[in-house]
Amino acid sequence: MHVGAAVRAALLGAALVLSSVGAEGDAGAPLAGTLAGGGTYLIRPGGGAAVAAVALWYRAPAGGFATDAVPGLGRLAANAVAASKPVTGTALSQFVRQVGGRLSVTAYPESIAVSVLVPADRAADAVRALTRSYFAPVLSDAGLALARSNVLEDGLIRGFDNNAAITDALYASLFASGPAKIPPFGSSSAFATVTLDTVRSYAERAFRPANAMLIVTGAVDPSVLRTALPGRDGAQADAETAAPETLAAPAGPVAAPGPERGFGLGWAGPPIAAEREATAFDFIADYLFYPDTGSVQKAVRNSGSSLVGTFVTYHDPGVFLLTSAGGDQAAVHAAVAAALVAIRRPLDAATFAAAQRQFVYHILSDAETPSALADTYGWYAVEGNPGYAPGEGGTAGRYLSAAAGLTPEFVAATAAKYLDRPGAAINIEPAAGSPQ
Amino acid sequence: MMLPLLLAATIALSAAPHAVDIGTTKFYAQSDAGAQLVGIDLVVSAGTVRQTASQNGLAALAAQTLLFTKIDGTRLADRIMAAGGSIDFAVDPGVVRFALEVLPSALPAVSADLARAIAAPDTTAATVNAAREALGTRIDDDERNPVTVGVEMLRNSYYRGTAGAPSYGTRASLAGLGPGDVAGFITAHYLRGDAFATATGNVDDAAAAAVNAVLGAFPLGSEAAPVLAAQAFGPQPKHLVTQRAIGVPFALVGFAAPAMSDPDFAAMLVLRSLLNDIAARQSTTTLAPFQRGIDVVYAYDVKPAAFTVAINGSQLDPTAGLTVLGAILKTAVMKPLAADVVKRYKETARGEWALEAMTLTDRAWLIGAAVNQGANPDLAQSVTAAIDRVTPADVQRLAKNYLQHYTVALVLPRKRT
Repeated sequence: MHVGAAVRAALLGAALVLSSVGAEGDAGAPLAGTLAGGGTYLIRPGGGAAVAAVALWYRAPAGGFATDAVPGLGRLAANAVAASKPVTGTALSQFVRQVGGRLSVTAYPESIAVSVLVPADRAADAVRALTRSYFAPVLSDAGLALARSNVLEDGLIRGFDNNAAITDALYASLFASGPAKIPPFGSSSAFATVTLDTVRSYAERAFRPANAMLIVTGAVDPSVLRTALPGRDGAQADAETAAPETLAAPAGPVAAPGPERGFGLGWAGPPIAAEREATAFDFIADYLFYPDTGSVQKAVRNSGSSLVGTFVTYHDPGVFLLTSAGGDQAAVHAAVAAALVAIRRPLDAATFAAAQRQFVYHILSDAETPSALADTYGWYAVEGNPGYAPGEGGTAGRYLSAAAGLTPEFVAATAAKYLDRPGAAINIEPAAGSPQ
Repeated sequence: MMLPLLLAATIALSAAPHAVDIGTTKFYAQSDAGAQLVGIDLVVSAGTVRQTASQNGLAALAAQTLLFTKIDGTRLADRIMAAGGSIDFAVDPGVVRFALEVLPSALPAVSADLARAIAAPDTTAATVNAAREALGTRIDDDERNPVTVGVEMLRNSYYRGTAGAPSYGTRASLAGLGPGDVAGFITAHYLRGDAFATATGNVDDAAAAAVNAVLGAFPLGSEAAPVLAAQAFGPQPKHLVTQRAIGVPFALVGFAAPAMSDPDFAAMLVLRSLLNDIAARQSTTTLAPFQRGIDVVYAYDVKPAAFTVAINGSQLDPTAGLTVLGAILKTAVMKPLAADVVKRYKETARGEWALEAMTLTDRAWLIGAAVNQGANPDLAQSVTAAIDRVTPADVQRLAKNYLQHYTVALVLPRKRT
């Protein structure tokens, strides 16, 4: 059979399906809406591997709701719920392990995601298991103990990443108050005093159904929603609102000790609502700092340094971060400084066009698996702009349209607008006794 | 009323992998509705088995040279990147695989560039030297990974001849290879009759035309299929020992194993799930391989296949791990595992197999692995049903056939001087 016929037949069949389910409001099968217990859901079926990604995203400060934050509390609570046996059934972690799936918990300054990847025929079971565990959280001493151990181990592993430590210092320097100022991981001493009641209180508020965004992607259809449980009686019936982030007053570079020489630079960038500007900053991060292909990465390839540059599309403000550690720091610093000056001027047309194609490719490639796509949708939903999620609407969607509509002049102007403002700077010098 | 229709139809979001007639060349495709990229695996019968004993690393050097070939003054890999895509390669004992992922709109230009590089690879000293340096970086990375070091040791012991050579050679062996070697290798082994392609994602007529153009750039001709064979295990396990700059010891146990196209493959996947789980500590979330006491590396895409059990010294004392492993295998050989145990790990194996390959290029690789073993391109899709049919007796037979003889590789921390 000629490829055209076979492929057209398959695509035609699929297109019919997508158009059927694409119309929101179809009786029984909308692709987005409100869950029985409140909260929202979003389903995005797609071709590819026969797997389903099911994720619960929550807007919740990772350090807790109280004024005296406990770094890592949200991560600890989400892990403890996953490890605790609910009223009926098995613990979520046990269920996922049994079915050969994958379970991850991710915490950001003001959001928490619990993501499950399972074979497609277990998608409905995964929806049931997730909602059962988180909508009416049951916490056990054993679950909390296991969670505490695992979260501390994760923090220990992260401690080997010097760029991560610089990132934490940048957030602390860039913000005067708000969730972004709180470190993402807790210490053993801080966790030692956290009681089961504290964790339960946090879990019941943060993970309540009305605060949830359920994201399902992959080889699925809306029928999987039938297994979502409504949650517990008496739960708060509204969602959390974004906590204000307050930028710190401009200050000079902060010096800090570390295992190896390094530096960090950070700026407040455009909020997620400023879609064209936010896309421009994603483009800048991609063009300069995408691993292996970024122009600065290529320039410092033989420096022996690790260099990370990202734009994080937060609700308000976004954050542009650069961190580097180890190796020839003078060379990296020089390359970064030159690039940050150059990016304020328009790129030539040919360079820009190639960078733009590469940027679009990276956006699509980085979100080609169901789990990556669920992460993308969850992030943009929890930060308050789900319609701007890359992938939503395909190449005609808002994100990729914004990417296609970028111009060298606009990118340069956006870079200058935000990078000319004061930012945060961290300089890391090896502590006495470090092997450098 | 709508839902049953939807359920049935979502299965059609990805067509089954199938052979595509594009003339004399071989192309196997699986199209996905809504995919915005196309992933292509180009498989060339130019793996390490095609090297001679003195050509360690030549298969990789040839592949890297191809990617560094300049088209209108720019390296092929950089041109593909600028067009909106990426390309990389992997060297197996039998074949070298080029994994290409690209925006559909860029595919005509990218395939034209790739075809030009294949038709006229740049084997000048400058390009080969750059390729050698790039491979050196890969070798250094692999040397820092104790599992990779151990797997390469076992592969070298397992396969006959150069099929067991290191994927990228060594820095020393590469230093002895020059432009003439690369040119000769490409001329001898990059032949149209032995190459094929697989594709997933946004596969349409344009993709088929692009693949046709690439395959058509290979010189006509073919060679006898390479012979991959394993060496016989001795009555007593062979022990291989090396040292690296690592923090904890690793023990790796290498077994023969059924390849993907073998009827016993599904049962081996069940055993893989059991072994991965048996020494795993409790965890709230899924552990990364480096956090597991035992991690199985199953190279089923090569025939004969290899099954390696890696014991991570940071999680499990290797001596204790080897003892536990020995006890499990002895039990599995002596009597069938309990039905409930097999049932449990069949469920886990089903799930793990579903998650085995999710990116476009990984899925293209899986199709190619089946084709390369003479099986149907949709073989991977029948594995789940095969797992369902596995019985305790199957697992016992498998243990008897494959797991009684093995080689042990120890990767130890280098002693400080």
